[in-house]
Amino acid sequence: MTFSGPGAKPALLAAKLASLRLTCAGLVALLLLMLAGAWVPQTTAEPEARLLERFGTEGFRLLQTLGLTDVFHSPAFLAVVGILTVNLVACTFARMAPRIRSKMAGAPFKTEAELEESCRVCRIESAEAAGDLIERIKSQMRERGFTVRQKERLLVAEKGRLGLFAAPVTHLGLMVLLTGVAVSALTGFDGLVEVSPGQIVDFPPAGDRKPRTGKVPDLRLKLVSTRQDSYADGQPKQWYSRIAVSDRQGRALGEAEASVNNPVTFAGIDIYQSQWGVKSLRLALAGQPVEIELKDFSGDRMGIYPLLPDLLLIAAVKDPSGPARLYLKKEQSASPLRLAAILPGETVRLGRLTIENRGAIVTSGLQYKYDPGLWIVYLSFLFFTAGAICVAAPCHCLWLAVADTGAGGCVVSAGYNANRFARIIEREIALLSGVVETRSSGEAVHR
Amino acid sequence: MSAELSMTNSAGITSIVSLWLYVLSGLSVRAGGRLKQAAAIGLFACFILVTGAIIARGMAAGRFPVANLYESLLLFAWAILAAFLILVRTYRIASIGWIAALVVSTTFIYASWLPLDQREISPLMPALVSYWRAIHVPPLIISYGLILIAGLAAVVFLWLTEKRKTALACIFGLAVSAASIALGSFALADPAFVQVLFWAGSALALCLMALALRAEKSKGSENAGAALYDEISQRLITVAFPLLTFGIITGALWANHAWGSYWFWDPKETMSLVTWLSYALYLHLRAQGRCRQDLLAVLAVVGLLITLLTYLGFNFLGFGGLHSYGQIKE
Repeated sequence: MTFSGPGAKPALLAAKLASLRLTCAGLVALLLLMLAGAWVPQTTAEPEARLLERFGTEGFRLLQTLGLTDVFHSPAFLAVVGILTVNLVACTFARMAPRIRSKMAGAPFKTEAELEESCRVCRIESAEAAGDLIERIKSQMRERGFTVRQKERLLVAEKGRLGLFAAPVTHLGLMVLLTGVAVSALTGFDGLVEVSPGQIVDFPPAGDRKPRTGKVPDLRLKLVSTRQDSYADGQPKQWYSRIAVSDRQGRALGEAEASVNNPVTFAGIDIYQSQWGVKSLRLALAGQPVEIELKDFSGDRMGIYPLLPDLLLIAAVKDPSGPARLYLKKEQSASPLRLAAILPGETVRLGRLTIENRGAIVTSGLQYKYDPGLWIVYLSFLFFTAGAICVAAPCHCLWLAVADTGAGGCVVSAGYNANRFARIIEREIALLSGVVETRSSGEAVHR
Repeated sequence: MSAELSMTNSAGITSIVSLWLYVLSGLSVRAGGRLKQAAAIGLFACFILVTGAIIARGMAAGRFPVANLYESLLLFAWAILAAFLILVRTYRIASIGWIAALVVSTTFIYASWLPLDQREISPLMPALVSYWRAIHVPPLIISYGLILIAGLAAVVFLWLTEKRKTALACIFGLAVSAASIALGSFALADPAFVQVLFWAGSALALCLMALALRAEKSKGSENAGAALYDEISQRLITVAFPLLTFGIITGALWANHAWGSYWFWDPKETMSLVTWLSYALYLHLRAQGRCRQDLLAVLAVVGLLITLLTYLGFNFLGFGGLHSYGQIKE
């Protein structure tokens, strides 16, 4: 392909940008980066400690230097996505659109010689005259659901043209998706707040990600109450949080209850019940209030409080409404000594020490999100679904060239693409003639 | 023994018996046809039993039974058997049944070796308590089943067209993948070794496939049997791709509904996208009509390897993520 003249440079550029080699190279690079991002735990999902444990300090530093600890936000990944986006747009308009336009006009007619070059060919001999046979062929193919066009002794029969739209509709979906993602990145924001019952927080918090454009509503969130529903064995079944939202001037915007998989919305901001846990345990040791911070440990929430330099008090809580289990551990001893299990509000006396359980403090992890680009992304999902449905309805095409044999009869050359559902077409040919004779004319036929 | 367990065990035994009948049919010329018929009937009975087992488990659990690996494997076996029955009806051949029998019996054996807590009906964690589970998971599992048969049919196509080296390279890749998953599933080897086995083995297999394709480029013979397996492979991928697309999209919708974001670049999500892209490439090349059929067959096998990594590998090769509830907990 060569270009010359005033429009040569833009045309050359368009050809390079629409290059299939660029697509293949970009996709391979994208797939390799995605595999790397799937294999190496990402710092956006896992704490650094996990990566350090797995790869060691040196290994972690190396991965960090190579950008593999946050692949999906790395310059390399974004560059590949950018190049593929440009390539996608160029391919869609420079290559795909003209091809679809010409295919919509119908597949081109092919002479017998062209069929031999490009297709698998089956020859059917008939004692009928060509004119009568062509009419019968057309009638039969139309009955079988094919659209038939004729040009002299050449026929094209097509069926299932919905399949032609699979790739362009999917490409359109990709472009819409990228647009939606860009809108979300520029104008959306999200974050996580951990609140205890009665606590009021301003959100979005000052340190969280802000959108590059657009106004961020200043809201105030109050966690009115929160609870956990559990199964009989104590495993969590569902978490609920009653949330009241107001603006910074104190005007109430509403109150609703969120649970996992059931978010609530205020002023366009969605709030999700994301996490739930027992944050700390409040005790009174000989009348002195103590708050022990709890962390997750094998399904329990546990914390440590140093009673003496070599004596630790260990507290464990599974359910905030259930008992707090207390243990004592000396530094030298291998295993802790169980002290007591105290229900909330109860007090136990151990010698001269009284221990009162003043209740656990729970926290509800609420994810919030404002995403103006979401509807665009959902639109792209519709395009992807439509494109995938078109894939399942492939287009079949049969070319026919009729030639006289000189003995009053004729021979029909039926050509088809051997790579695309050949047996369906062969069945059509068999129905057409009652006899299938497939003859390959050398390597050139098989494309 | 519960009804669900009885039906599952019976289905497993039936699939193994069918597999042996297919093996014997290949050894006996005289009784071959009758043995194949008996094997096909066995697979039909297996399908009925698996359907019953899934329904019984769902009724016992009070929910659609796709909450852990064991339940997904039951659905996986069901999808393969359903595909086999449709293929037999469409193409009027029972010989494809040996692939279905092999895969289904392997699935049942694998499922039977899972720990008891996987096989028991357990309550759902809050994140899984949603109607989306029944919408998102089944299309994906069914697509994986279709992709598996398509990949194995592609291997048979290569074998029948006498591209034996390419076929053997594909079998090697599948064997390495299966071995890694088996070792990882049951913690039979060090996780680092399992990962190296998988990645290095897959890379070696890909190199062997490329070399074999090049070496056997001018080789090959056409026959009706090979064309049939090629068409089966193509047809199954054409049906699996929309299901895969629907499964990924509904997963994104559920994630947005549950966690406020439709995409987290979670390992399983990322790999499902890699799977989708690989089959989009396959379908593009098919539509072009200019690609060699043996190359398309190899692409179908590579897609199968990626799918195995997506479905099972990322749970058992030491990766975390939001889908880690599919892992076996020690």
